[in-house]
Amino acid sequence: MVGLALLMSHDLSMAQAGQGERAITLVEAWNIIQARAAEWRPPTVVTRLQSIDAAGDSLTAGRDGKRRAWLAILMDRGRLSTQLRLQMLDGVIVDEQTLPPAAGNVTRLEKPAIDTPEAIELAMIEKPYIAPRRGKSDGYHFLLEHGQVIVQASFRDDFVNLSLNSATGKLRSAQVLTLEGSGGLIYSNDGGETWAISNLVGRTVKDVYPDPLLEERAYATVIEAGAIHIYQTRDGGKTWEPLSDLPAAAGNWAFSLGAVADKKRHSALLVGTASGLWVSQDGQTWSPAAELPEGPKQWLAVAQSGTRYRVYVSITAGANKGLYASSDIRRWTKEADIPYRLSESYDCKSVLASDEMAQGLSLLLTSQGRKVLDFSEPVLGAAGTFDGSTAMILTGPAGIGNWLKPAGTNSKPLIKWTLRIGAGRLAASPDFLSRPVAVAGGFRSGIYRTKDGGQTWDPVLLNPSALVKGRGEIYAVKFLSSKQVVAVIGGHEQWREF
Amino acid sequence: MERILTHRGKHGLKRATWIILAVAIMGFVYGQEILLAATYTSTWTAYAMGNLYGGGGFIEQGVFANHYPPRCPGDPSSYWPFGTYIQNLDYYVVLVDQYGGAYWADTFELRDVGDFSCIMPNYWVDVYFGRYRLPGDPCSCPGVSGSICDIGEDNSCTDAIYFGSNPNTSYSGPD
Repeated sequence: MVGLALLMSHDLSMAQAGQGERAITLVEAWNIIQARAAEWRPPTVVTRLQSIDAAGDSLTAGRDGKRRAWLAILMDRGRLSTQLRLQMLDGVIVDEQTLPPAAGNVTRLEKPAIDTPEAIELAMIEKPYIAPRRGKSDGYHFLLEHGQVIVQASFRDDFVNLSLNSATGKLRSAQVLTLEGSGGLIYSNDGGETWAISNLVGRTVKDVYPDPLLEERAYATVIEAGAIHIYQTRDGGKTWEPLSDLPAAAGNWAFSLGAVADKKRHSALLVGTASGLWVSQDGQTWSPAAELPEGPKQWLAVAQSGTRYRVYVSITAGANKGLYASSDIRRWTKEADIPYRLSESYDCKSVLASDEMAQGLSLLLTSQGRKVLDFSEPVLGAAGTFDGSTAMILTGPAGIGNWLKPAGTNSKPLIKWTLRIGAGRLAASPDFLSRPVAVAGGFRSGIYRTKDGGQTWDPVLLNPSALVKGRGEIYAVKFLSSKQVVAVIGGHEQWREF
Repeated sequence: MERILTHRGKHGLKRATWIILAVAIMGFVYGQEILLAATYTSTWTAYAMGNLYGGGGFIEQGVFANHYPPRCPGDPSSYWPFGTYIQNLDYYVVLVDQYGGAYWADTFELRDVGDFSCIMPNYWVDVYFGRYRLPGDPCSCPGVSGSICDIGEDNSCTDAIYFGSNPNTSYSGPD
């Protein structure tokens, strides 16, 4: 097929400059662009100028107001259509691409009176606690907008833009891109048919998990003010109260939440973060699972049978990537090198570990051992029964469906996609065997309910954002009893002054 | 502030086709300038309206969002830097500009992040469809509030919903 001749990566490691590394300021980049513009097809205007990452940049690059790589867009003002995209590295233009015309209005930029070394010093004086970015872009970056120089930094892993008047250097705004103030938790008292808002709305709720011993009780992780807070409900999800806070060392984001019940019928809470698997025996004090290797504990599931349990944790990045398991949260064994996504069966007695990159190869983990399942398609999660007795409900990129053996044949089971909403979160009722009810929360596509083990689905809440302001992305769904269900709705990012 | 008006007009599709062909020929001639890229297959979704700025800069047609490493560390594509370009190998995405002119796009620049709970699979792509609304339409899109919109001859939110969720989309991106 034909395609646009654009760079497929802006990794500028293959520098054509042939010079040594040379970081430059915004005004120096502007002057280079202007010189090129004069040669092009005058009259031209600059409509975009910003710094970008270059291979080999340090994590604090830009702290001196200089960056090695810059990107600019020039527009042919006479024809008002053609755009030229320029990339600079070490003070030299290393790439030029013609772009399609802009789709809407664009703004002509003017040369700033202040330069970026001054801008970042002013920004650091106003907001000394900002940090360099990491991930997506490293260090401090700079963006020229109409009448303003924007310093891009971070605060607690959230993106920060400090906007300074390009003529005077005065700080016009300091904003952080945050989920706080939107999203929240909703609940149902009729098995997922109707939904109402809990008192956890306008909060960044990340995950929810039922107490393994007490019906109607559950726990939720709430991200607020750069810390992880644990809330609990005693009434099936309608009202939530603060229980405890994780220590600062736990970080500012909780990937996953779980709970186990031991032989003494005590519950322990588990929270997976980038820094560790944090464990609390009393709901108040927290410590990391000491022998679990370093790395983000992104996926967590518990297989619980009576008072015996086995905790599974996937470390999804770094040298220790893989699936780990423990029966006492102290001693851990590495079960696999693959960081599987993890799902619990309706009775929590088994765990499905799905490898989304392996076209459907998954592990069924039970107290009896493990078994390889081949779904023949990528799978992201599951609910229902995992032992083949009745329906296994699956979610994958193609939607939500059943894994069924074709009737009257010896053929291997196939996935029948019955709800084409893209990927989602699943939960099955604790009495799924006798009453195969399950709930699916889609990615911006609403909440659905099945009464027949996933063969047919009824939409029960097509626009969750009408209940809870957010992006309508369902972060989690959990049954607390056969009637009580809770769902977490993700918030949407907003720029807020800080 | 000087606003420069660009106008593709009602015949944008036809004109855009010529532009694509012309640039494609340039790409053949200067093919050696295209860096080696890998091919990925994942789900493509769409969004519209919303904030003027994402983490990587101004949000406009032609940009996309994907996972963010502190939130989805297991997705290798979450580590791609802002400014990364990808090219859809399966189909053109039909975008509609402010004046109602449709045009085809297959190349998109990474400038935003999303899906903080990692519901979508690795290598997920969320294409931005624009912030245009018809006079009288609300400046909102399901799942997005507090949006900033421009009056136009099309509703970008409707287009994004129509695009839906497209699994198994192949595209080229960075190695």
